[in-house]
Amino acid sequence: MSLLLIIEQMLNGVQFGIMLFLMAAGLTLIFGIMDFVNLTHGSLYMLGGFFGAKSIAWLTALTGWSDIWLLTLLFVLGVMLGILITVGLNAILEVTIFRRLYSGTHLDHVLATFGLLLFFNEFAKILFGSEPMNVPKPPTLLSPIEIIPGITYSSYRLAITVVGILAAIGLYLLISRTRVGMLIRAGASNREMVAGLGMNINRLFTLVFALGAGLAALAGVMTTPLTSVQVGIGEEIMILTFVVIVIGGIGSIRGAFIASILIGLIDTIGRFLLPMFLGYTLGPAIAAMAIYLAMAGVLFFRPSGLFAPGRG
Amino acid sequence: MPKGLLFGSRSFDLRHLTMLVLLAVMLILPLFGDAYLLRVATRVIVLSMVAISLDILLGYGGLISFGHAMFLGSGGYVLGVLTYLGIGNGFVVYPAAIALSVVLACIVGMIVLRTVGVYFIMITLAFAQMLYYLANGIRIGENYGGDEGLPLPSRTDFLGALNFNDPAVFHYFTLAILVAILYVSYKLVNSRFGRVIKACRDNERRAKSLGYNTFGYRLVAFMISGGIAGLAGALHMNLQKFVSPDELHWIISGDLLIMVIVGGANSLIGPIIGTGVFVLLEEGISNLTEHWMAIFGPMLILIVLFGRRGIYGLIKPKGEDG
Repeated sequence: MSLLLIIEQMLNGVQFGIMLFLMAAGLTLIFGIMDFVNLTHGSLYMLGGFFGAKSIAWLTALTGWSDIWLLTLLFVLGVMLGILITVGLNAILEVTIFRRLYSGTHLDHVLATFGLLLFFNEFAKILFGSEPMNVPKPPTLLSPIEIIPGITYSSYRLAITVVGILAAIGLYLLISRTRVGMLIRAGASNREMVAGLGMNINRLFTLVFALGAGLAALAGVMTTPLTSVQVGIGEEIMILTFVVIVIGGIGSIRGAFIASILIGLIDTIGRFLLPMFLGYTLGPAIAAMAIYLAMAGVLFFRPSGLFAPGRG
Repeated sequence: MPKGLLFGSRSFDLRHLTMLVLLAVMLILPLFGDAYLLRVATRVIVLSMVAISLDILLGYGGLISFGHAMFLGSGGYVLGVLTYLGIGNGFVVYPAAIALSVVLACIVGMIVLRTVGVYFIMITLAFAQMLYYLANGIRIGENYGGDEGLPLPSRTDFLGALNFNDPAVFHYFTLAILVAILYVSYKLVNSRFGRVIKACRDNERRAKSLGYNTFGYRLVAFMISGGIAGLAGALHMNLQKFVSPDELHWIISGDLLIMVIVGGANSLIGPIIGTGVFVLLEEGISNLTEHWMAIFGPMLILIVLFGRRGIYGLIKPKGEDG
């Protein structure tokens, strides 16, 4: 096996890790600040993918443009439209349902959002059908590019990795440099105190929810050209996101980032290497288990994750 | 029978009536000879056992396990794999299914019980998911196992004593097991052990400072729960004659939580009622429309928002605990 292949797989792992981070960043704040168990985060990923795919197809058909740069522009606009629709839908849910649940127990959250997830799956099935939906990559990002002399890599994957990293940097600046970010950090370590000091915690909740939904939808719609989108795709990534959050420590953005890259690498490299040694039946199964074993290992020594923000 | 057995109250009330009606229905159902109805009823009985085992953790222990389907799967897979290895004797495979599920619960419990709250919910979910992938990797020969699942070549035989191929015999057998599980669970939750478990739920710090090893008590509860669910998993395998990774899917774990909550947690009858309602709704609505989840999902949200105490809360006399 060549070095080239290994480097490519590592880059794929980082790319997958960045997508996981986009999911995990929002969810870890929702868990950490609101103490709200949200199972619909994966649905936002799926809906983002569907709405984005539909938007791109609709815009392309509407304009009839064929210039590759204009088509790329349409792709970006479609992505943004998909995110906007998903965030809007989530905002409606936040106002009508989630707000009534904040005061409830974890069990209430689990059941209600589980119900919502079942609904979303059927909703997507009725609206978009149960067949996988595909989106072509933007025409300017079709051919691989040379990242270092002699080594080429998919330009689309590279592009979404860069977008993901930019989003992560933006999030970092928002959290560490702005007043809102300060409130979010304060909320993650002690929610009652923030409310007690007279801050409008409800507005903060709405903001965090919208932020989380936007990032999840971004991840969903950017991944669609690679994997296509179908009903149920969000759940798989949501459970991986849970693993990431738990390893990183609930409420910690930094923890989520490190754990995302770690899980992305373990997952991708495991799927690549283990089947070679263990055969094509056991290999993929063990590779899929590897991340959970990593999680079990971390939790055995640090039951609240690597970087749990201090409480009280 | 000692006074108040099963319910902990002296006078006859709605709960006793509900139980008697349910028992009577389950007893006379095989006489109608409707194979479909009988199958549904047996399924309710088997899944009730899992729901009860989950409620021991959830209602009495305050531990929200989101991965209980793992035991449904472990019981089924042990039975399936052993049968393929040529061991079909019920006196061997059933104890093996229970024992392996208890061991699984012990290993998983030692890690998950170190965590609390949201962590616990997600870690139980993640462990079930891990076993889901493991089940995808279990293959018997060329044709069986993996994601296509494992058909049971022949129903379990108890040295010729019980004929599981007769649906009525199997139905009565599961009913007897359910009654036994109810009796044992009742004894358990009202024993000193059960009171410690409830104390851990209500105030762990106080239980600890009274000298109780809360981790140990919870671990034992987790193992008992896993054992009961594993037994149910083995029965489920005999009912369906098939087990697949779908049995361990996290949606099933969610369904099990729904059964317990809709029926009423922190009681032993609640999970049975909840399972019955869930299975009937599933069969009922899915006959009307293939999109039954689009109806069921919102129903669930309404139940959480407006009817938190479950159906059991409606039939329980006011002011009584548990």
